[in-house]
Amino acid sequence: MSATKKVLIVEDERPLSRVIEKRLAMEGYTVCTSHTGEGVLDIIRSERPNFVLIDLIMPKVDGFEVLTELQADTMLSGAVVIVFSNLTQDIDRERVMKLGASEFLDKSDISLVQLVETLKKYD
Amino acid sequence: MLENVFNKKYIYAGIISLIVLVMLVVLTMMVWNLMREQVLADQRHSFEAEINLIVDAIHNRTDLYTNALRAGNALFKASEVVSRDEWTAFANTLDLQGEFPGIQGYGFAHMVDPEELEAYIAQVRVEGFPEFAIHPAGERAIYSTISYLEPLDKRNLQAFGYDMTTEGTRRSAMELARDTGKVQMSGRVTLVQEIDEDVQAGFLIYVPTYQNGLPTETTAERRNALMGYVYSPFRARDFMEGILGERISTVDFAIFDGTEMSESNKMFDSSPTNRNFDAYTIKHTFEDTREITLANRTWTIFFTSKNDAVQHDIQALLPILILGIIVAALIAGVVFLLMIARLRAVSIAETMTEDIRLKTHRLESLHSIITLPDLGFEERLEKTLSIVVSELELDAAVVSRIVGEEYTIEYSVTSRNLKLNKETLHKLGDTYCKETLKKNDVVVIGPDANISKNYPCHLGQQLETYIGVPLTVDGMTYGTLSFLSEQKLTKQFTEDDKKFVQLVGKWISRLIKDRQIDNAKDEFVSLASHQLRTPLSAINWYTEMLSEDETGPLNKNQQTYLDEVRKGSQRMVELVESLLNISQLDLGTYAIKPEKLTLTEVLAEVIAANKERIELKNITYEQKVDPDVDDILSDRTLLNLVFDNLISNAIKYSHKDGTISVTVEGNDTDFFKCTIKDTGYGIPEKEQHKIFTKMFRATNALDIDTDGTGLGLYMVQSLVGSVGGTISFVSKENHGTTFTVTLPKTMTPRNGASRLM
Repeated sequence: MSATKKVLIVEDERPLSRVIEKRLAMEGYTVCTSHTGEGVLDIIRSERPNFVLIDLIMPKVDGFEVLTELQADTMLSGAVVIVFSNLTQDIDRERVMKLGASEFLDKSDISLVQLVETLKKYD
Repeated sequence: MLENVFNKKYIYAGIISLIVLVMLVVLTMMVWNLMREQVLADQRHSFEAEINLIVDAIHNRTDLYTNALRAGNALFKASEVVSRDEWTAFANTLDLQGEFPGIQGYGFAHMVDPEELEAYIAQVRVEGFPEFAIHPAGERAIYSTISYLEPLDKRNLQAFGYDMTTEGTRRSAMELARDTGKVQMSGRVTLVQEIDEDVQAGFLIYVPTYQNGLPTETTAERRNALMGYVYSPFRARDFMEGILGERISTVDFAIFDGTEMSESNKMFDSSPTNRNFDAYTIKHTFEDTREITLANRTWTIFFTSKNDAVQHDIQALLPILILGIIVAALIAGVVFLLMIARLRAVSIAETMTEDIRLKTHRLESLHSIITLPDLGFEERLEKTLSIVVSELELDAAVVSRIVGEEYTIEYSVTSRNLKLNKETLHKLGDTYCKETLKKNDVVVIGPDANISKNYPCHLGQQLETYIGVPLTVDGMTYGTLSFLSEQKLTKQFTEDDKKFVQLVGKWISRLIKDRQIDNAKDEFVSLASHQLRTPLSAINWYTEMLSEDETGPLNKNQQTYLDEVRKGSQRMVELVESLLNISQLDLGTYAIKPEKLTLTEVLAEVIAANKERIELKNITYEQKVDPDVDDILSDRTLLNLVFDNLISNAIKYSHKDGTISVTVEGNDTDFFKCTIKDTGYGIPEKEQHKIFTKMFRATNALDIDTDGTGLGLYMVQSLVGSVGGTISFVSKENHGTTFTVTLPKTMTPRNGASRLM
């Protein structure tokens, strides 16, 4: 690994964000988190993460909205957006991919190992 | 066009009525003519009868006079000498004035030889007539003189002493009488008695009187024996008036002496008009000419009907003719009206039948869509809209969602070249749709509408034709349902059109409401499954972390317990997945996305996923796929779910070292058949009827395996059924189960749930 990769986790369920944060840290990623979709764009602007790991169903501002804003802002198009959610219907998957996400992961079906493997594809 | 139809009907009815009129008029005229002929025949009959009456009367009267003259002759025969007094007495006895009307006189003319002339004149003068002379004077071989004449009035005195042989007409009659010894009438003469202005034609009748004792067998003997003539002069008109009396005759007639009808021969004319028979041209309805012989003289009588009388009777028939024609005209008029009424009724009936046919057709079309099974919301909506568009012959249908001033097209059907701007959010503005919401009723912009409003999504332009209703869902204004056209329609929207659109509006409101309910359910299931999964992710990931070396090594028991936690969590994930699928199947929102597949490839995926457990039980897996049905156009997820459930069940309920056989066969239909056979525990017979129900677990299976969800077979059956397939099974406890599934070789795509969030 040439330089430390930065991952932004956007997940309202704190236990989930905590375990992912811990696991990614183990792998040597720099991790920052947000428990809401609100203000995510500001964080991305200031932190400039390599990956944005984002959930879809969140209070106030949900993942779809964040993705829509992100897509509209060309300055922020550098980050790899990985959506992980329990909304697993095809229609949701298609919508997310249209909004510029690189990956869509079924939250309840993947292991942490698989998550890490996915991130590593983009090294 | 309607007018033309009516015009044609008027012409048709007019022709028929005219024919009826002509027939009735002809009939009336025929009847009238028959009656007229009958009247004429009656009149002809009366005419003939009247003629006969007159002719008979003339004959009778003449015979009467003739007999009177014969009586005079008999007087001379009976006595040696008839003195003047005797003659007067005889004539008085006859009562000339009373019994013989029309007779001018009753006299006797003596034949006198020239040598006796002087003595004769002297004797008469002695008898009381000192002035007596035979006139005209002159010398003749023989003289005749009227010596006795009764009544000897002023008129007859003119004739007294007159020698009738000096005048040709009289002489020839007298000579004829003398020679034949018979009564003889003279031709037309003017009597000597005519002394005043009123000069009439006249005639005389002679009876020859012979000397007693002389023979009268031959003409010569009669000439020799002639003594004189008993005679009577007649004025023709007085004679005829005497016959006719006061009677008013229905005929006119003119009497001519001889056979020629000329003024010079005319004896009498009953016609008051002055008829000139030398140039006679007048035609009468009836005319008849009779020749009669009276006292050896021929008279010609020309009879004519009195035209007034005939015409009067004919005219009496005229009201019948007029009435007949009026009745004919009335009947023809009634026929015309009845026919028009009938033709109109037929026309109205036809229009009504057409209306009913149209209504029925529309309702049947709607009904066919309402009752179509397995039709997605959008498909059903589109078909409904298409039907209305084609029924009303318009260009487009739009279901709009209107919230405040914001207008969006939710669904639309367009034909021809009508372009609708579907994407953008529109401002409602001053539009037909706003009018529709304001009125809260059907709004129609037809060919003669005078409302100039725009249509929001038609690039802000004005449309020529619009019919729309507000859509109300759950008592709330939802938007509008409108049908449009760029073209001006030639016909008006009818009340039926409005009702039809209203009905469709209600039906679509209902569809939208059902759709909203379905969406809400779907939303709920989707969110519920999401919320259930989130804690499962936490369990999975934290167990995973525990297993990692990071937290320190686990002892054997800890490792075993952790495995159980992971298994339980895994089952929970599967359960939630099944619930989601089943909910979508129940709601009809399960999406079908056909792609080109081979069954071999799908089965291989399923077997790969179950490889571990097959190997664990040392199960023999056999597979036979008919290459003819291997290539299919099908939904991968659906096939995976079906085969995975059936094959994993087969594995689950197989004995160690069992055999599972999968066979795929084709047939002539659009379906392939797949059988999955195991040699396992089988399903107890008494439980077989409920294996496809939710949460079914076979009692013998519970002893063996406890991690079934009880949703697998129910889901499989629903999935198979949703694409028109079938599933059945044969099972015997402890011998195994064989499931048979038929599925279409080609599936049609179906939209899944669409999200409102």
